[in-house]
Amino acid sequence: MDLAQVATYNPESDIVSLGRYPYYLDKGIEEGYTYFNLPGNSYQILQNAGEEFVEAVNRQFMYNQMEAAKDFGFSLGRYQELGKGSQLEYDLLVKSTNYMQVPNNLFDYFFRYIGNR
Amino acid sequence: MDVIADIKHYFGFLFERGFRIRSIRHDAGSWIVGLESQDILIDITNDRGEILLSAGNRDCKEKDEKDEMCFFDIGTLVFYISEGKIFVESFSGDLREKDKQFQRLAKILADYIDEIIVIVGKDFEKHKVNLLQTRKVLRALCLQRHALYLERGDSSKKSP
Repeated sequence: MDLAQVATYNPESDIVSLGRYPYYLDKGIEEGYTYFNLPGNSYQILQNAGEEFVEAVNRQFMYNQMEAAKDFGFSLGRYQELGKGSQLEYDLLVKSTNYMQVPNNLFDYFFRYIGNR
Repeated sequence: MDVIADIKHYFGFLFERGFRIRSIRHDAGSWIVGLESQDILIDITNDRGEILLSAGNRDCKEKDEKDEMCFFDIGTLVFYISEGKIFVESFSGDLREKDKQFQRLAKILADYIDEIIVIVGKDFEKHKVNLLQTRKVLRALCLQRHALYLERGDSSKKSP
């Protein structure tokens, strides 16, 4: 099992919760959506090693969830920008031909899977 | 927690004005330290390495209204106070440079703290709708700008 899998909570959900801390985390826990949360101090260790290590694990998490044909919701909460933590995730979805951004009442930005399930 | 020492160091002017630590939340890689004075609430947040600053209204929070109705990011507050003249960019350096991030935010907050205390404090109800509108406009602008970066093939600098 790789680190991205270890950090994946509620893997059975069809929706992935992303966005600003703590909103993506709270929504994932409260609503049972899939969310990403590295165990213990592993985030700190990865970040100290270099941003590319954080990005690699984050990218793997996204690929796993996109391959599972899930929908993705971003929460901004009190902020006006998603920020560095979610930029990669947002960009992967914008560039993917399997996803379309659609309005959603529960999330600020929502990407629906439009490929073949 | 080292971060408390950092906050007391960089935001010392807040403690001199009567602010005190209200809450601490810590999750893997991220944390929020809440400060309070008799007028307003201030949250200093680490979102996976990115340090953020926001201010909130006490009554709104006590009434348990939705978080985003009570708190506003420093970017929205400065844009509103400066009547759209000053846009606070997100930190563009290495996220491991915590000192630089703290210094930058402390300087911005020190410049606007008097106005923020009034707008988010006693005059909050007067400004609330306009603050929400300002955030909405900023979100649209940031999203539009990011779409341009993506079109040009450079998504490394700005976030939506």
